[in-house]
Amino acid sequence: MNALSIASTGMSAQQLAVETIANNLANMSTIGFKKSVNEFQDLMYQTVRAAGTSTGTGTLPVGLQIGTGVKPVSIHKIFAQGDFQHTQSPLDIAIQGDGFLQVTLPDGTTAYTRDGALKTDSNGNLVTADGYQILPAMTVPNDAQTISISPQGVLSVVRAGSSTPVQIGTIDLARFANPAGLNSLGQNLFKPTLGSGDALTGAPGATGFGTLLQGSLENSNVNIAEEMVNMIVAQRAYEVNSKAIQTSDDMLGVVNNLKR
Amino acid sequence: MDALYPVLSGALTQEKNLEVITNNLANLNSSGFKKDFPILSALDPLGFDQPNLNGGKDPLPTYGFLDGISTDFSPGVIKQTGEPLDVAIDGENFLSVQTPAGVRYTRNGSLSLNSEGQIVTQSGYPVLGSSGPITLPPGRVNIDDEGRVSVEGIEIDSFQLVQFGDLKSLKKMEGTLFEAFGVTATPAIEKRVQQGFLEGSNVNPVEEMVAMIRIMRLYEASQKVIQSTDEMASKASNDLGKV
Repeated sequence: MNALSIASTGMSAQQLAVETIANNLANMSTIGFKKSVNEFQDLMYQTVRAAGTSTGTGTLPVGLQIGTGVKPVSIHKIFAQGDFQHTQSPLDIAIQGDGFLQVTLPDGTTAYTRDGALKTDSNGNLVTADGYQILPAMTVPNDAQTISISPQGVLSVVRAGSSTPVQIGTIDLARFANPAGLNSLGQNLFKPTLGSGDALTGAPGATGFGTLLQGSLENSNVNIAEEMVNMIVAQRAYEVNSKAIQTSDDMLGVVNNLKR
Repeated sequence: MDALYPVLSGALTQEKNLEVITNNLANLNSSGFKKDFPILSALDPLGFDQPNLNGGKDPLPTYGFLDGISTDFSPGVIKQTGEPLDVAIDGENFLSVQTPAGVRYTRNGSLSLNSEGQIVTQSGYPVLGSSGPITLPPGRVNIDDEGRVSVEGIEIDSFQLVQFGDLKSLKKMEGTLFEAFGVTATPAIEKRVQQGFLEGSNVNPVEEMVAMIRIMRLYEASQKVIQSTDEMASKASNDLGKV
């Protein structure tokens, strides 16, 4: 009974869909989180007879192809802008438009993030909430009175006893040909892959790059109503596939009762 | 005993029928998927009826079988995604896709970019423009009603939308792709493309559930006929000679 295995591909696909939705919902309030969506495609077809086959008197108008189920083809991130949340904290930055902040990981490689909840560590280095340094590295002097970050990423401070702002550095952004191909590392971090292409860096506000918004954070782009609807759709699809398994099983029961 | 094999053929046909229904249900949420439906036929296996004593002919029992599987190309549900590279295609037009095996056609408009900036399907096959894959520079993508793709207001290319004289000749392939089999694709005349929308499958779960119930009951009926035939045979072999 092939229908059993066909229906099981449907059930496992919907299970995956619910897992993706659950992860989106779990990260509903994660700063800089980007939601994932599932995409499904049909599996191979078993061609019993092809359309157009000669019958002797003509050709068959339709073929006989039996599908073998469904497969998940991608779970990809949707990089649509999330809502802005105003925090008034001078080191919180939101990216308005395309681009990622660059972060140096402990192993020396670079990762990318949309999470702009920045801090300064004990040495005054500009770091993420996890303590990873922002690239290019910047140090805020410990006597800084006010910190301002311009939409173009220029970080300047006014030091104690002075009234003129001093420029510390520029926060650059990185962008990718295909951000959906980035590899999620967790901790709101992404790594480039062959699918995403290499990072192109540039100053905020340059062509194709977003600008920075100081005192704001970008919330996740998860929309609860949308996820709820997707969850209902996935649950019902799971149910009908389980009904197909039940029917196959009932039919096998009928076969077993043939000979008494 | 004549009844056994024709009934068996009916039962086997219902098994295949269930596979078709199940595949539809498994692809309930596959973008651009088109449902299949079985074409059932009856067959007089020898092609002639049996002559009887009166000089006429008695019909031979006919066998049920699955004659073909046809695809229903009616439109699927349209859902809004807001994604710049999601397109829903109105009417009976198809996107052309370059696969290693040749050009294939799809209604699945869930598109993406690859690392070279080419527009590709979720399986990574380039979607064809007027002359080959469409490569986009960075920037905001806009796709208009006619399938023209522009980035930051500059037109780059347009989708190669095609139509077919006879949709029946399209053969399904893995990945919601179709292969043109004995028909040639002609450029679409009436184009309508909607950016930010996706066409889901056209599978109607209610319809499929009803079909599944019917299959189940027919299968049970076959069982009853086989059992009664068996009982009759049992009577003939065990009871008839008893005094």
